[in-house]
Amino acid sequence: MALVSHDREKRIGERLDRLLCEWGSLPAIAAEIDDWDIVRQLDFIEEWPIQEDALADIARHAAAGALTTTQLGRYEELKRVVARNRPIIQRLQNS
Amino acid sequence: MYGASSNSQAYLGRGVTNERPGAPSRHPVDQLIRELIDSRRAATPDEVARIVERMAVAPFDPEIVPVRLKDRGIVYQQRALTNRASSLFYHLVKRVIVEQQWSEGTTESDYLHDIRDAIRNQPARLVVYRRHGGAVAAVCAPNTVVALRRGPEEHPWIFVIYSADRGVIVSGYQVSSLNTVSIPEDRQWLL
Repeated sequence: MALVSHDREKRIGERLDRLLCEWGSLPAIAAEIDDWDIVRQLDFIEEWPIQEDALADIARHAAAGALTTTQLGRYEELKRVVARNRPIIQRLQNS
Repeated sequence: MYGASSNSQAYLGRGVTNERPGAPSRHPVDQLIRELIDSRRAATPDEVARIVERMAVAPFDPEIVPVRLKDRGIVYQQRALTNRASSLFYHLVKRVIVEQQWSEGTTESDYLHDIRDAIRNQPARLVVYRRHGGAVAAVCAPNTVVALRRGPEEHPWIFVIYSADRGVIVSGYQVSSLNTVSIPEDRQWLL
C-alpha cells in the first residue's frame, strides 16, 4: 500500500514537472514554430491534447486530495502558467 | 530543423511521391484530400475508402527530428535519446516512457501496427482539415490495442494524424475523448 502511494506520488510529481515544462515553453515555441518543417509544426500542435489529458488527470488527483503540500503549491503555479499561456496554444490550434 | 541529408533518400525509399523535400505530395489520394479540404465538397464512399487505405499503408514520418532538451537522455530498449532521433522512435519513447500509454516492451513495429489498426478500425471517425497551413487527415478510433501493450495511462481512443502534404503519418496517440482533440471548426467529417 505504501509502495503504491509512493509510486503515485512520484508519478504525480513527474507529471507536474512535465506539464510545467510544456505549458511554460509555449511562448518560446510560438516564437520559432513558423521556422519549423510543416510536419514538425503539425506534430507539436496535434499532440497538444496529450497535455490537456495530463492536466485533467492532475486536476482529478488534486480534487481527490492526492497531492502533497509541495505538489499542491506547484499545481497552483501550473494553473497560473496555463491561464497565462492557453491563448498561445489556442492561437496555434486555430491557425 | 529536420535533417536535410536524410530527406530525399528517406522519401524516395518509401515510395512517397514528393519530387523534393517540402513539395506537396503528388500522390492522387493526397491531392484528393487537399482538394476536399479546399473545395469543401462531400466525399464519395469510394473516395473515403481510398483515403483510409492510403493512411493505413503510409509510412510514419521518416525524418530524423530534433529531440527536445527535456527528453534527451531517456533510454528505451538500449537506445538513448540524444539531440536527434528518428521520428518513429521518438514518438515511441514518448508514448511508452513519458506518457505510459503503451507498455514497456512495445517496439516501433508494434506501435506502427497499433496505429494502422486504428485507421482500419470501424467505426472510426475520419476528418480532414487544414492546420497551420498543413493539409491533415485524421482518424479517431476506439482503442483496441491488445492488453499486453496497454500502458498504465491508457485512454479509450486512438487519434492518428496524417499529413496530406507529405504523405506520412505524423503521430498517433491515445486520448480520453473526441472532445479533448482540438479539431478546427472548418473541419470536414468524412466518416
